[in-house]
Amino acid sequence: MNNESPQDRRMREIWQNQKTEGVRMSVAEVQASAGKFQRRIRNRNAREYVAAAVVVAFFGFEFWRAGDVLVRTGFALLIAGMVYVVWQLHARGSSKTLPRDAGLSSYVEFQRHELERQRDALERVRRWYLAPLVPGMAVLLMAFGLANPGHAKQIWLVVAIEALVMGAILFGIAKLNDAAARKLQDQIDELEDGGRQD
Amino acid sequence: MKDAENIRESRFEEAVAAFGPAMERLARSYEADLDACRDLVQEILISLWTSLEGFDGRCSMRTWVYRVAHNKAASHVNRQMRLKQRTFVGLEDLPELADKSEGEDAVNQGDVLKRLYQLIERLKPLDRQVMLAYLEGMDAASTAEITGLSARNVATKIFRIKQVLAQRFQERGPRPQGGEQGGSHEQ
Repeated sequence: MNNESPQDRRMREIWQNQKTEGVRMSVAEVQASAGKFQRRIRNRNAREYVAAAVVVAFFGFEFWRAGDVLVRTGFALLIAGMVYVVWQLHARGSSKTLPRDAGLSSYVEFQRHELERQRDALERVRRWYLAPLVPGMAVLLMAFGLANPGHAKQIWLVVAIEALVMGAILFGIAKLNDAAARKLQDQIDELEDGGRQD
Repeated sequence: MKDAENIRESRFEEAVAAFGPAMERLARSYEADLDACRDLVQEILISLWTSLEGFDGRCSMRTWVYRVAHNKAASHVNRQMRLKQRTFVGLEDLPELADKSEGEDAVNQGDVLKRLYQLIERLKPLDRQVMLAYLEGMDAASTAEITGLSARNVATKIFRIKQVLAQRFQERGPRPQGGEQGGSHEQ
């Protein structure tokens, strides 16, 4: 490096000459570890799919048990919504694995891509996580109201309250995700400022 | 197919031989816990092995290795930030922060290294990368290639790094013990 003072040189010597343990992984060991790591990722994904399958099975059981066409429609829509959400989770991937082309991307590019991916997933959570479940829930609520014609007023009041509670929960989830997306955007802005400043 | 695998194996072995100690120092800068640091080194090696399948010579092996190692280590730090709610500072904020060991003298290389690590561990990932590249003896162009910052921006950060290091170490050390040069050599 230019303009290197004896002090700079000395500091770097101390740094570079510090004792290290020595990397002791052979190619065979790394290959085995990489295989183990891939299996761990596959198992984790499998666990998530099993959890989703349990929920779908429960809705499927309720669908099979229900005699009413509207209730069946509600559960069918919920199942379809769940399948769509799981597919989206799979398609959007996980940040725990480093892409194969990580060596082609500088830190700023790599990090910006990761943060933008996460921000987009959070910003669009209404579309891919919340909205797919709404039709099924709405139809089930309607089916609940129509199933009790004798107490129409009270039942529709209950339905309206339940709809409001569900709406508030969905709204809260959306707002939390918006806040998380804004934090990520701040990090992206900071990264871009870092790349431009001076 | 067999040839491609042999090339990948030999590239991996060469990379580990040339940059293994630097990868360890880098991992140590991102993870203070010794066992977690060993795990991080292993994760970096696995990522390097996986990534070498796509190495096409568009950049030097050194740049490739450092990018993979830094990207992996930064992902590790980002996970920590989320889990432990840790915050880091930029180089520009360092001079204002009180140094815990301000009143102590860096009497030997062990002290200097300890304090260097304390300093590095407080830095944001991007500034940490520039600091590590500086300590590893890279020039501004190579550092820019690895980090994605402009060469001018890297030069500014290096200027700040020199200021911070001078402020913290120049007046009182580092001083060699008994006139010996360097510590345990592994390269």
